[in-house]
Amino acid sequence: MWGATVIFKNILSTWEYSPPMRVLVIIPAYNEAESLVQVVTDLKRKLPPEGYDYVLVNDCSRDATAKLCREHGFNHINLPLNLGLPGAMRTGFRYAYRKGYDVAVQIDGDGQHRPEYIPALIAEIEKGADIAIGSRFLTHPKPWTARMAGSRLLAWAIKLTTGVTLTDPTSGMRALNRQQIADFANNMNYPPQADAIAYQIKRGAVVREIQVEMDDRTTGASYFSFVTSIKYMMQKLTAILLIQGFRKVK
Amino acid sequence: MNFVITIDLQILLALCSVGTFVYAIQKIRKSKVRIDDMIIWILGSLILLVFSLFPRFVFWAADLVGFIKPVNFIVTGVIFVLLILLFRQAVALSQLKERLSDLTQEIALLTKDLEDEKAAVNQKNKEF
Repeated sequence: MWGATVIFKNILSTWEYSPPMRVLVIIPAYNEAESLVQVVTDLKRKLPPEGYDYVLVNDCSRDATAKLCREHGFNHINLPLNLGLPGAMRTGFRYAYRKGYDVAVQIDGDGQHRPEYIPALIAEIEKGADIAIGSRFLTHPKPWTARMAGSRLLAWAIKLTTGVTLTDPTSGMRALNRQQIADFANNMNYPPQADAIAYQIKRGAVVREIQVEMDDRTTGASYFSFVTSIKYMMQKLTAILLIQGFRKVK
Repeated sequence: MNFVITIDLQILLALCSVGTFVYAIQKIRKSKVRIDDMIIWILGSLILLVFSLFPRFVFWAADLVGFIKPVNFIVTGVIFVLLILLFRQAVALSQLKERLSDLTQEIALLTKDLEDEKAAVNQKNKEF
């Protein structure tokens, strides 16, 4: 009799009701007035209505981004100063952390990340990953272009220092679980970039990738020109190879 | 060994140190700067002044560390101190950047909360 109740209790506990994850999609936007409305309406249309919210972080754009957000009633945060992508993303993470979201997803404001892949990212988090990354090259081959040389270098550096293979380390499409949101929101030196991911891997975070497709940017200008790309690669490589190893792991 | 430092250099050093001292004090008097941040400059200028007035001390110190010419000792010393100051500036600047970024984000989030609140109140008023 007693045994039966234990079994019954165990069955109950496995069926215990777990509320669905609350997901926040963070869209950093800097001078994205041309593509903004398209991106957000697309996002709203393609995401399940339950449990998914979004927030736009306007990084002090000089164009009509703020005005469009107000007119269309988008959920948005206006930064009073231009902070660049890391600052804009961190604002989003702070917002997610304070509003108690379980998962934060980062997608770009230019429409190159397709929202239909977001549920797949969330699924990886639900299965226990701390960070899920949308990779262009998980099953597809990586082309041998100049841009991808940087990607290969970064991947190599991460493999060397952490032992983990990331097929698309420069991908800006990621999902973070609650713990990662807290880390990225509340600490210095957590840019939403490859070096911070490498550091989190060293701290024990589980990272999974899913195959996604990305569109080319159609409007606006990227944060990256050729020179800034080179600078970015140098910074991130130095950070991963020479600095992250010295940071405290706990 | 020749124990005379050229009188030109002596005067130049003395003038520079007095100038730095007066300039720093002026800034403090006009409330343009925090006293805590000027202390290193005040002390530094005084030390340079002592060096220029009593070069014997410089000779002794240069000899101790192994410099052949006392002038080289002074120049190297000044460069060294400048590097340290520069590094400290870099650290302070980095911290300021981070704090500015933090403040900016906090202002943005507060503004957002405020506007959401306002919108909610307006909505309520409409429903009444």
